[in-house]
Parts: sequence; structure tokens; C-alpha cells
Amino acid sequence: MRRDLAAAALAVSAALGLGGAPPARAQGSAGELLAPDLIEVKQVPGPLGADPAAPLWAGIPSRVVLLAPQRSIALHDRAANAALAAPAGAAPRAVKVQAVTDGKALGLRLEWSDASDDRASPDETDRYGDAFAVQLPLRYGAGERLPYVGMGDEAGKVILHLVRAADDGGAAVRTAVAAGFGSSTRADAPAVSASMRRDPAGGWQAVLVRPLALGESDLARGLVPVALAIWDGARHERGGNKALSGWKLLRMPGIPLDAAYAAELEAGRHPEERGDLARGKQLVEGMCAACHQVGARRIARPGLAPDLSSIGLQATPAYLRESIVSPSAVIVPSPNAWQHQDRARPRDARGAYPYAEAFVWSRRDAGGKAVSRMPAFASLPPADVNAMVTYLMTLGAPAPGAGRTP
Amino acid sequence: MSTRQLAMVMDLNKCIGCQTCTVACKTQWTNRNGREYMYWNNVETRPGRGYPARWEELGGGFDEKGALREGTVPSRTADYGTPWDFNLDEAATGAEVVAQGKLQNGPNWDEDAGAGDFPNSWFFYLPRICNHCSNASCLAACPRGAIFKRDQDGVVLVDQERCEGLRYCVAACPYKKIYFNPKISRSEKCIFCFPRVEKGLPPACAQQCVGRIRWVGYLDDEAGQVFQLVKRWEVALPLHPEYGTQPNVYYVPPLPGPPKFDANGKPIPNSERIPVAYLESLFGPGVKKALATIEAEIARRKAGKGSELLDTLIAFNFAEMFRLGEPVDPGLVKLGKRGTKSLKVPGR
Repeated sequence: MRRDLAAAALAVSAALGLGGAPPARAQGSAGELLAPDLIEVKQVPGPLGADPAAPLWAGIPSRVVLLAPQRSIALHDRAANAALAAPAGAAPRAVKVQAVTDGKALGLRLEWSDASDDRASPDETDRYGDAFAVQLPLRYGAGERLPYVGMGDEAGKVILHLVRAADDGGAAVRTAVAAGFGSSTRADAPAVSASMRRDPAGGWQAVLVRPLALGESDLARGLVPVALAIWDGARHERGGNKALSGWKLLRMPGIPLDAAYAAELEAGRHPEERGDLARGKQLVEGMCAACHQVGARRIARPGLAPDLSSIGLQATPAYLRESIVSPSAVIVPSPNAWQHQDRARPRDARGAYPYAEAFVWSRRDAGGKAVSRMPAFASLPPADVNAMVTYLMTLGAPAPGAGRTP
Repeated sequence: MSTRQLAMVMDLNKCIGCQTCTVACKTQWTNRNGREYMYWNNVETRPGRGYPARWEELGGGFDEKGALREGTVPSRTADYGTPWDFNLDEAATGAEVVAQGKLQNGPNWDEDAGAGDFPNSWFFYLPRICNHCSNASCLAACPRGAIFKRDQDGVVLVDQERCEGLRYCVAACPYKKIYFNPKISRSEKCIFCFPRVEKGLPPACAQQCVGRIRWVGYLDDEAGQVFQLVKRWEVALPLHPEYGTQPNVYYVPPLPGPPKFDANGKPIPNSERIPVAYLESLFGPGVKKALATIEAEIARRKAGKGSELLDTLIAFNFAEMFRLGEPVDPGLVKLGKRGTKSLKVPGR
């Protein structure tokens, strides 16, 4: 897999700056069901600059995207975990997003509150820089399933643009390709530029500009999935300790929608697919909580399965449905298997315990195909699956009544 | 796939705290490029705070069920300490020598302080390198899988191309023997001098040790002195085995020392100047047996009988102390191991 990533990273690097504006076509409109997740990309004259204070942004509509702490996998830093366990630690964080294109590049402006300007230090060992990242699938469109939102999966690679407040006062941008947690591999992409600027009100204003066409990553389509992450250095956030959004959709101007793709993305959002919340809570806490940590219901051994506490802000209903009925459809990469020793088994020649298979979330079948350890709940009545998905979509979200996307 | 494990034994009865090992390591590996604060090898006074300060309280390792525990990344200024200068220019013309800057902590901060009140004060030295653990918790904690254990000798290394400087390894190592290099934003650690090992030479810290307290060899090499001390005599014990990482550096615990004195200045028979309970808190339940074995062998020697164990602990020659197998470059080995005529391949 690593070799594939390196190849993808090279392909991205090799095709820098190539590609141009797509031919303008008739405009379509996304269905109502996608509206809560749409980010309108406004057509503006080029070229795009990476200045968050540029007057251009004043006239661009914004959308607030909510991010929740990444909790699917646990990391082992005491300070970061203490920040997460603090009263407001798991609360969603809001990022205001604006998007523009000049037909050649995409510009995203992000604004979020963060009380302190945190940067890594060349003289300190425990300082972490504030940062943000933009994640885009390498392949998307009709017939393509969305990659796993946590840095993709083996079947769905993603490209990541990571921007960090640098110790020299500027912002360092880097691009990587990933196929699951821990797999990101740097790609050389000098055509991507970014900047971060302190908001006097206590926060960050940032801009990322990248060519629409960047190697295998081509954004010149009607609907482009995008996910965002931010890191707060003051909370010791780095790597997997971050706040992550679910997949949102960039609506590119001047390009017709692919109706088939829009219909696929609408799956799971239809009113008739909504289930009974109370029934869903009962089912999830009765079944899923045996292996998964689910919100306040934390009876499972940590690490046995992904923690679902933030899942409502990060997953789509279609993904959750698929995960319940057919868990092997998307293989969530496992965290480092050596985090759990199997003390019941004999030690090896070096005296090491083997790792505990139970904490590895997938295995290979006889044909070498990855299979999830989660049993398929394919025989559940559809109403129960709807109820479970409806309940899961509330996890990590603001208190009921506050609404998912303001 | 080979699953051999290189190990080191250190005899704490012979360590004089001279820091020659520390300097050998530092000049070879850590005197530059963001590593200045790192001590891949350090010698600390026990009881004492150690380096980084109070490292035993910073978490990491595995719990009793075998699950990785969370830990803390030490602060370079507060926990490792910033080196300071002295006003030597002024001192040369008669001024009193004064340290410059804020003195907070350092790699040998509480040297020789120890514990107890005169005449019953006590301390001993504890040299520490990376334990190259069999269940390495740094390796387990890395979300990127950037830390690996070599098949041929079990040396634990950081893949510098995969490392992104996230520091979960630093939090997870209960010995705090993996360090973050803030200049290049990568984690770095003791490499057991693998470029030397590959040429048949022991790590620099072991070769340079003036007290000859260090043995290096493969744990499955039954004819080797490392095996003899660890597995046959069971006088060399791991540091904090309860951390659950299966460390591969072993220590011969210090003997209890001369008896304590009572209020009248009379020796108290069978008193423990170095409390065995303290040694057990460091080296686990094998301490009493190890000390009894060494004392029995000393008695044998005193009675005029030979002692193979004491002959081994005296450390007569490097060829027996360091058994590293067939060198890649015999010429270099000859240069580095003067007086060593032949190198046997251990364990084969």
C-alpha cells in the first residue's frame, strides 16, 4: 500500500501546474437533500492569491462547518487526552468556510476561533503548532464511494493539503496522499500555496489555493467532496489528535451537476429513511456498545473497535448504514496493532508477547481480501437500521435543537 | 526471519559514575543538529530525579492487561534542562566562578546527592541507554508505524522518512529514551551503535567504559557472557520489568554496601545501607536471589575456591565481553579491538 501511495504522490508531483479551466457548461442545481452540506464556490477573476485579508473575500458567502474531535482511534498522549476529557474538550468547533475559483485554481478561506497563537519551537520538545488541513478524494463521482473520512482507506485514496503555523511566523504548507490513518506520504506540490493570519478577535484566518488539476486530483467537476481538519496546539493536538468534519460538497460554478452522482450522495438522507431516535439509541447501546465506545456509554474495552462518540459529525448516513449491514464494504484501517499485547499467548524467542488479534479491526480472508472483524447485521429490519443510523448521526453533534449545520 | 536479540548487561557494583560512556555517545551521535540536549546514554545517581527529571512519573509502557498506557512528552527547558555557561573569562582574572542563566535542570543535576543522612547516606549510579525492548512501547505508540525492530538483532530504530515528529513515541516510552529533535521535527534515539555492531564492534558506550561494567551479546548465545549472566546465573535483571516492554538491558544490582552505623557509631549487623526494597522497586522480584548468588560466590572465592561468576564479572577481556558475530569489515574490527585475535560467531 505504501508503494501505491508513493506512486500516487509522484503522480501528483509530476503533473503540477498542468491542466486548465474546464469548458463552461450549463448549470444544474443540487437537490434539497444535499443543501446542508453544500459549499458554493464563487467564480472570481484570477489569479487567486493566498491572502485572507484580501478585499475579494468580503463579498463571498460563507458556510459554517462543524468539526468534532477525532475519537475513532485513541492516541496515548496524557496532555492531549486530558484536554479532550475537559468539560468542553469534545464540543464541536465551528469553521467558517468561503470558496472561490478563477477557473484554474480553487481558493478556500477558513476562519475559526482559537484563543492562542501556537507554534512549534526549534528549542522546545512539547510545543505544537496550530494547523488546518483540507482533504479531497483522489477519485469521486458517480459509482465512486466516498473514502473513509479519516484519511481515506485502501480502496479510496485522498489528497491532503496540510497548513501549519510555522515558527518563523509564516505558514508551512505540504501536500500528501493517504489511504488510511498513518499512511500519509508527502507529495511535492509547490503550486499549492497557503497563509495563516491571526484574527484580532482571537482566532485564525487562513487561505489555501491549489490548482484545480493536481496530478490525479481534478476538481473541475460539479460536486467535489471535501473534509476539513483543524489542530489546536495549546491542546497538544497533532496527528490524529485533531478536530475533523464530515464530507462536505463543493459546488463548482459553471459546471453541470452529474445527476447520478448527486442521487448517490443523497442516499440515506431521504425523509422516509429517518428512524425512531429512542429506538435507535436503545439498539446502539444494546448491541454496538459491546465493542464500540458510544458517547456516554463506554463499557467496551477501549480500542476493540472505533470509538463512535464523534461519528455523527464525521460520517454520512449512507456510510453508517453500509457499516452496519455490510461492515467489510469499507475497511477502516486499524491503529498500530502493538498497542495491545496478548498476554494469554506464549512469548516469542525475544520474550515479546504477540499482539492481540481482537484489537485488529480487520483480517485477511483466504483470498487475501481484507474483512472486517465486525459481524454483519444484515438481517436487522430496515426500520431498526434507520433508527440506529438516525441515532448515530446525533453523536458528537451539538445539543438537540441547536441544529447540525447552522 | 531471524529473531535474535542483542542485549547489554551493566554491573552497577563497578560503575564509578565517570560519564565516559555518556561522552563517548555524545561525541559520536548527539553533539549537533538539535540533539545537543539528548543523552542517548546517561548516568544518573539513584535515588534521584534522573534524566529527564522524574522520568518514572511520566507514564508510558503497558498496563497489567498488556494495553499501552498514555504518557507525557517532557519539556526541554523544564524536564531536560538547558545547558549553562560559566563566567570563565572573568574568572580567569580573579572573579568568582558564577553560572550564567537560569539553572533549572540538567542531565546530571543531583549527582551524588543520593539519600540518607551521614554516616548512613547512600547512593549508586545507574547508567541508562535505550532498552531496545522486545515489546517496545514507542513502536506500539507510533500511529505511522515509523518505528521498527530489526530482524537480525532486535535493535529498535526510527524510520526517519516515515517519522513526522508527532511524539506519541516519546510519551509512550516509560524510560524516556526516545527524544524529539525540535530542529528537524523528528524523533531520534539510541541506535545501539548499529553501524559499529555491523562491523563486529560493541556500542561506543560499552567499548569506552573504563570500569568495564558492560557486556554485549546475543541473548540466545549460550556460550556468551550476556547469556551466562542473565539466563544461567540470573544475576542481571531488567530495569522496571513491570512496565511491560520486555527491556533488553540488564543490571547486576549493587550489593547492600557496608553496614549502617548506630547512634554510637557502632556498625549495625545485617543492616541494609542500600535497601533491598528500593532495589526491588527498580529491578523487580529477582533482586534477593541475584544478590544471594553473588554473595555466595564471593564467599566461595574467599574460601579459596574458584568462582566462574566472579571471573566473568571481573571482565578480563573484550573478546569474551563483546560477542557480536562475524564482522562486515574485519580490518576495522582489528583496528578497534586491539588484542583481539579471533571473533567467533556466537550461538551457531
